[in-house]
Amino acid sequence: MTDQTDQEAGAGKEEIASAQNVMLALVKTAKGLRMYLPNNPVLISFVEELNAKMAAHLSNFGTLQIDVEPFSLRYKGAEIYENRDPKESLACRLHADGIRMLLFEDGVDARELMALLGIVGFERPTNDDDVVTQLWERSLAHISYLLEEDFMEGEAADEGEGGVVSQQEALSRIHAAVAEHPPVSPKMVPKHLLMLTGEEEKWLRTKRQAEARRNGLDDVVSILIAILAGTREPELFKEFVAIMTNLTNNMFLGGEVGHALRQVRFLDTLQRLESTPPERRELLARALTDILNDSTVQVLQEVLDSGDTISHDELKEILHMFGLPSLKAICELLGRVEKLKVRKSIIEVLVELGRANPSVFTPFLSDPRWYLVRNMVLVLSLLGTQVALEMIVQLISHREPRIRREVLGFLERSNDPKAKSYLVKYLRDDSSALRIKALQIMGREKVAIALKPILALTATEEFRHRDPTEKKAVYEALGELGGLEVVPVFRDMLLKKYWFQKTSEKDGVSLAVAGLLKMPKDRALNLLEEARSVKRTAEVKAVLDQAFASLTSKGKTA
Amino acid sequence: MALEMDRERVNNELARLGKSLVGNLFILVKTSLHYSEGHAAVEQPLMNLLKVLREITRRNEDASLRLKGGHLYLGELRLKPDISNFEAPRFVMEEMRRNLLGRITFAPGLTGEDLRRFIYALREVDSGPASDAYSRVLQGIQRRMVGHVEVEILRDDIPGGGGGAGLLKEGSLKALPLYRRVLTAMDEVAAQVAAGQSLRLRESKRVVQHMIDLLYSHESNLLGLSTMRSHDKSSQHHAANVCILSLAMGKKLGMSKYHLCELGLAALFHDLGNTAIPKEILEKPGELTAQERQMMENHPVYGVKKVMKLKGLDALSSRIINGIFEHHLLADFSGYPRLSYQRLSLIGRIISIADCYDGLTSSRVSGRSAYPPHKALRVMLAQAGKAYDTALLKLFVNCVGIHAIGSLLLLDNGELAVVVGNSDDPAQWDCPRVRIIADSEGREIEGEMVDLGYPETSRTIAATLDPYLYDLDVSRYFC
Repeated sequence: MTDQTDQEAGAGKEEIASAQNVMLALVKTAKGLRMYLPNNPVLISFVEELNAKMAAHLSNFGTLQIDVEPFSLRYKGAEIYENRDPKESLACRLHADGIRMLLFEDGVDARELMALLGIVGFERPTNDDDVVTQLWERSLAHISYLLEEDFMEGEAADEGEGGVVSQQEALSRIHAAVAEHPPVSPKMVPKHLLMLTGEEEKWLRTKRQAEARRNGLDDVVSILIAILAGTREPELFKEFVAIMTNLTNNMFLGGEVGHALRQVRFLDTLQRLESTPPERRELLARALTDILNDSTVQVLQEVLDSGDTISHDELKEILHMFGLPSLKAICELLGRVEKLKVRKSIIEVLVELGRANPSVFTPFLSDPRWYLVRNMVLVLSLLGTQVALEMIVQLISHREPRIRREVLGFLERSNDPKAKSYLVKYLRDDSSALRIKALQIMGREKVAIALKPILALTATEEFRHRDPTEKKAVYEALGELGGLEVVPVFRDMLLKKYWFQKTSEKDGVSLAVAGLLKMPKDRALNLLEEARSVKRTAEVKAVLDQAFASLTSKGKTA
Repeated sequence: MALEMDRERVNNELARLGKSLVGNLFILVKTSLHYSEGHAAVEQPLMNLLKVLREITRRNEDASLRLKGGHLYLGELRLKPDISNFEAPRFVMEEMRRNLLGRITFAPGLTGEDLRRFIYALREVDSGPASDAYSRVLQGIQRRMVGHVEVEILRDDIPGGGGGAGLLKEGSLKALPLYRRVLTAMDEVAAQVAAGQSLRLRESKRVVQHMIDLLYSHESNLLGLSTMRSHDKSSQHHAANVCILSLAMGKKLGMSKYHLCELGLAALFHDLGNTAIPKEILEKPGELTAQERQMMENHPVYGVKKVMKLKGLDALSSRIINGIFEHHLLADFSGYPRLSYQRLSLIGRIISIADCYDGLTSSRVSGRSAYPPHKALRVMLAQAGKAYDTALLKLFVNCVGIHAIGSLLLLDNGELAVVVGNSDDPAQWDCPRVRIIADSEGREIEGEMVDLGYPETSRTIAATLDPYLYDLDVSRYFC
C-alpha cells in the first residue's frame, strides 16, 4: 500500500532527495544539540541549515509528512532515516511513545524545530513525561503528529455502537407519570443572578493569576504541617513524621534549604510543645536527628560556604534545634565549612551545647581529621572548665603538630595556673617550632615550675645538637625565669675558656648573653663587666661589648 | 453462509476501491493546487481517479463519497482509517468540510473533462465567507457546466433544526473511547496504589491532555459523558466526571493548557485516599459509625500519604496533593479534614465544586438517591458564599448551564428531550440545545437536535424531570 501510494503520489527523485536532506539536517542538528551549548556557532550553523532546508522543502512540495516505523522514518514510502539502536534512534523514540506520523507544516521556524529536537533528540525521561506529553506541552504550531490511537478511535466507536439499548421502558414510565401528574414548571434561578459581576470576574482573574504563581512546595509543606499538628491517630502521625523527615532530607539535597529549614523549625516547635505526648516527642527528636545526616551536612556546607542564603543567626537557631542528638553531624559540619565566620557561628553553638557536659566532645578528639580535632580544642578552650582543660591536655602528645600548636595556644591564653604547668611538656615536643614557642611562653609568663626542667634540658646530650635558634630560646627563657639559680650557669658560660674550640667559646658566650639580656638589668651588667675584664678573643669581646652597650642604652632609654 | 462470505469479499473489495478513490482524489486536488488547469502534470492523477471511479460503477456500486459523523463513506460502506495512509482521508474530509459538502456522487457517464472542471470549480471556492461555500460550489459547477457530478450539502453542521448533531456525533466518537481510557488509566493507578508500587502517571497525563484537546473541540460531548453515573459505587466514573467538570471550569476561567493538565490530574486523583479505606465502609449501605465516619473523613489525608510515599514530590504531584487534601474543605474553611489549614488553592476550590456536583447527581453516596442536575445546582447555589465561592459557583453554572447538560426536559409539545449543550450568550442560558429522545406519545426516537434558543424552534421547556427516578440513562445520548 505504501509503495502504491508512493507511486500514485508521484513523488519524484527530487522530492525524495529533498526530504532526505531535511532528515540529514535534522539528525545532524539533534547530535549537535547534545554536543554543543546553545550559543555555539557550530550548532547555530546546523540550525540555520536545517531551517533553510525545511523551508525549501515545504515551499516546493508542501507539508512534510513522515511515517514513523519502529526503527525507520519514511517519506512517501521511501526510507529517509534508519537507526536500529534503540538508545540513539529518533524513530524508535517516536514509535515507542505511539507516534505514527509526524507532520511539518509551512511556517515552521527554528524555534519549533529546536523544541522538537530537544524532546526527541534525547533519551526518554524516566518521570511522568514521554515524547507525546512533552510535545503537547510545547504546543508547536507547525509541527503535529498522529498517534496510534488516532487510527483506532473509529474501531473503538464501532464496538460501542453495538451496545446501544432501547430505553423505551423508562420513557414509557415517564410518559405515564407525566400524564398522571403533570409536573409543574420548575422554579429556576433567575439568569441575572447567575451572571458574573465585574467584581467577581476580577476576583476570578486574580485567583487564576495567583494560582499560576503559587509555589507547590509551599502548599505541600503547609499541608504536611497541618496534618502533623492535628492528626490524632498515632500510626498516621508516625507515618507523616517519616514522610516529613524524608521530604526535608530531599529538600536539603535539592537545594530547597529555605523550605527544609521551615520544616525543621516546625518539628522542633512541635517537639517542644507541652501538649505533645512524650512518645511523639521522641519520634520528632529522632526525626530531627535523621535529618542532619552526612548528605544534608554536605549540602549545608556548600550553601554556607557559597553565599548568604542562611544568615549566621539563622544557622545558630537551626543548629540549636538539632541540638545535642545531632552533635556528631554538627561537628561534621564544623569540620567541613571553610568560611571563618560560619565556623565561628558553629563553634558558638557547640560551646552552648557542651557547656553542661564537655565530655560529649570526647569522641571527636580522636577523629582522624586534624582540622576537626583542632576545632574541638577551640570549642573546649572556650568552655574553659576543668573538664575541658583535662580533655585538651590529653592532646599535647597528639601526632599532628597543628593540633599540638592549638593546644599550646590554649595553654598560652588560659588564665588557669594549672594549664601553664602543662607547657613544660612541650620541651620534649617533636617540633622545634613548638618547643621554641613553648619556651617563649614559659619565659614570658614566668612559669617558675619550668626552670628546673629547662636547666636539666641544657645538660642533656640531645640539647647540644639542637638548632642555635632553639638554644637561644632556651637561654632566653632561663633569663626570663631569672632566679639566682641561673646566675652561676651564665657566669660559667661567660668565663669559660676554650684553648682550641674558639667557635664553641663564642657560641657559649652568645647564648649566655641572650639569657642575660632577659634578666634583671643590674645582675646582668655585673656579670657582663666581669666577663669583659677577662682577656678574650676579638669576636667574643665584640659580643660582650655589644650586649653591654645594649643593656646600658636600654637603661638610658628607660 | 456462503452468501455472507460473498458479501464480505465484496465489501473488502469495495473498501479497497474506496481507499483508492480517496487516495487518488487527494493526489488530484493536491496537484491542482500546484498546476493550472490544462497542465500536463494533472493528466495522470486525473486518469487514475477516473479509472477507480469507473471500476466502482462497473460493479454497479454507488460511486459517491459521503462525509458523515466525522467519517468517510463510499456509498453506505464506512472507510476505516489506515495507518499507512492517513493523510489522504484527513485531507479529503477537511476539503469537504471546508466546502460544506456532505456527499459527492460520480455518475456512470463521468468523463475526464467533467472531473477536471469539478476539481477546478472547487479551487474557486477558496475565497469568500465559509458559510456560503456550498452555494459557491454549486455556482462553480453550473458555470463550468460540470456533468455527471452531483453534490449535497453537509447536514451535520447546519445551525438551527438538527444543528450540531454531526459535530456531537463526531465528538462522541472521540469522547467515549477517551472516557474508557480514563477509566482504564484510573484502574491502573488504583492497582499500583494497592500494590504499593511507584505511581506512574504517564498514561493518565496523556489521557488528560487528550481530554483538554477534546474540551476545546467538543466540549459538549465531554460534559455529556460526565453524566455517566456510577450507580455501582465504582469510584472511577466519579473520578473521570470530576476531572471533566473541573477541566471545563478551568477552561472557562482561562487557565493555560499546562495548568489545565495539572488541574485535570489533580481532579482525577482527588479520591485516591479511598484506596486506604476498607470496601465494607466505602460501600456500607446504612449509617456510618463515628469511627467509620472519622475514617472516611480522613481519606484526603490518606491520599496525601499515598502520593507522598508512592510518587514523591514535584511540581505536578504538589498540585495533585492540593486537590486531594482540599477537595472536601469548603470556601469558609469548614469541611474536612478538620485541621488547621486556611490556604485553599484554586485547584482545590474547583475540584470541591465539581466533586460535590457529581456526588449529588449520582447515587454513589450511601443511603441517598441521585439528584437531578437542576436540583443539585439549587442545593449548591443555596450554599454560595459559604461552602462555595460565589464567583466560582456561577462559573460552574456557566459551564454546565442553568439546565445542566444531561438534564431531562419535558417540552411544551409533550416531547422529552435531554440537554446536550448550552449557549455562551447569557441571554440564551435558559434555552439550551437539546436532543429529542421521545415523541409526545412517549415513543423512543433517535430525534433531532434542537436549539431552543432559535425562534423557529417553537418549543419551550414545560418541566424539568428527574431521569434517575425512572432509571433513564441520559449519558447514552452522548455516546
